[in-house]
Amino acid sequence: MVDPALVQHVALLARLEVPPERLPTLTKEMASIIGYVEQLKDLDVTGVPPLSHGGGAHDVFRDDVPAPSLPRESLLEVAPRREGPFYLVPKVIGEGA
Amino acid sequence: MSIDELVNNVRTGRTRAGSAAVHAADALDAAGRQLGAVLDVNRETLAQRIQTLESRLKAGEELPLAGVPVGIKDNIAVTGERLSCGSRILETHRAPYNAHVIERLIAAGALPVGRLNMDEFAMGSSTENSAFGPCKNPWDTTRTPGGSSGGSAAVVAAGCVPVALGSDTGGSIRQPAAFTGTVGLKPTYGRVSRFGLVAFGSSLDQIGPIARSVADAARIYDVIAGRDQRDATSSAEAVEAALPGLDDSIAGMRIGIPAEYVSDALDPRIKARVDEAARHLEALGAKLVPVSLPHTKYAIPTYYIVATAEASSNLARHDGIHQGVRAKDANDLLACYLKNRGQGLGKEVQRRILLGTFCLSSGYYEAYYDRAMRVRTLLARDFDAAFSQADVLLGATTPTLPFRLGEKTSDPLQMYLADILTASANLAGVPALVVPAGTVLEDNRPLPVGLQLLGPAFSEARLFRAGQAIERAFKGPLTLPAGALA
Repeated sequence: MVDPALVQHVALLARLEVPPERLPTLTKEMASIIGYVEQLKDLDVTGVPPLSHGGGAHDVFRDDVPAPSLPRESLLEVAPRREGPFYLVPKVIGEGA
Repeated sequence: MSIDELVNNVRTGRTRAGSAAVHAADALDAAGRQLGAVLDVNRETLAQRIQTLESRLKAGEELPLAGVPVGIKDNIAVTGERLSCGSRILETHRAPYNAHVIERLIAAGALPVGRLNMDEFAMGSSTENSAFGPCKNPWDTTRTPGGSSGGSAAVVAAGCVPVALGSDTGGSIRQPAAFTGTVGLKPTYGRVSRFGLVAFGSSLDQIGPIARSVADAARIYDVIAGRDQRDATSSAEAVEAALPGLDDSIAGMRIGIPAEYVSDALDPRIKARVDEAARHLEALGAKLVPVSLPHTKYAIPTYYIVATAEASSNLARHDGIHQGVRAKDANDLLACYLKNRGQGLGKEVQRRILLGTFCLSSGYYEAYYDRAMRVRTLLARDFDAAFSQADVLLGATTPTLPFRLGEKTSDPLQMYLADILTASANLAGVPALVVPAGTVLEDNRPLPVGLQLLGPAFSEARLFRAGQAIERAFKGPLTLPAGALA
């Protein structure tokens, strides 16, 4: 089931560039790990509710009071490329689009 | 020197407020770097903090951690300091704010010093997944200190700092504590705010102390535990301070011994130490109860679905655009994401992001992620049943002694199994404390053994009390043999 095409597809979803020479090893490793976690199928979970976290807290709200947030500059200054108050990225839409 | 002595020396004016921290910075730069445990020591910010501390003390402030140097794992934010998480993609990143735990420590008079090595984004059990080189175990430098908080555990064991902060998602505080003869606490989920901790598995992550003694760990816990509005999962439950009742009797305490945590699959020398500790506790009036956590063998498969699914979402923010390192050769936005992440993230991190993305992807979600969440319920119910019979559980932390560097790096699955006895506590959200139980000889060198105490949610004070009894039974905190680091 786990083949190089599936790994490439998932890598694209995850926004990870996988060099072609890494693909065979990565496919083997993914198959081994997925094969291992599949032992959960041995358990009968009919009627068992899912647990998303162990804390027991639900629908936590804080008071709707305005408060200062972090200064914009302190967050922008850690960006690798910026222009004024913007993050700088390569062009989003190609010429043929 | 214990934290208590150190603070007393500062309070009485016997030593200057900053002297322990400057000494720690020197030790981190020397022995700490030699072990590969230290990524950065920022003496400028330290000097500023010492100055502030001195004026606070002069103004008469009573500070429970006055002058205590605390090493910080490199995934916990300290304003203006490096915050790389052991990753290339964040190699140049500096934290724009303090984590909640750092605010609390500074308010109490402590001095954060040193950025400590870790498995990249806390993913690993040996600190060999750091982009900045592996960390070594001070007990035997051919062995791993465990991971992912290996740097924190190594510098505490080596005596560079009395205490360090780590984070624990599936055992990342406890397994290194066991491997280095230190005390490590994974608090109840929600007990310590995660604000300022770079997220890995948000439903599992907790910050906790790694210290030389149970009392030192308790002192740090008492300062960092408690509600913080900036972490929505932070609990409003009142904090029971651990220090005041630390030496109280454990007579009558029901100690459950889970069969799965003393099984024949363990190194028999570790199992023998659990038995020995149990007999000591019994002699002090505790009652031993055999219990079972029958789904333990499903903890690792469940953990690797839940943790990687959460990681695949959390780590999407590391895109080389908002922060971190940008690849040079991208011509459009998609290529920019692909290359920044493909080049900036290490192999293990990429494997886990891929696994998590797979488990959440259309067509596989039900079979993997949804099923894992249901098995998580079964694991939590195991604990509920055990805690109806016992106040505290006692067992092994790891199935083996510290393994050798390079021993498990070629097989990711073998590395995952190092966490087989620790991941359940994160999945169920319960607290767990690791306490050393002496050493055993391996190849003519002493190696530490660490036992694990687990309790119901918010029972940290009780765990520390039982831990104190075990520490006493094994004749106090462990000390590295002279010349171990030579």
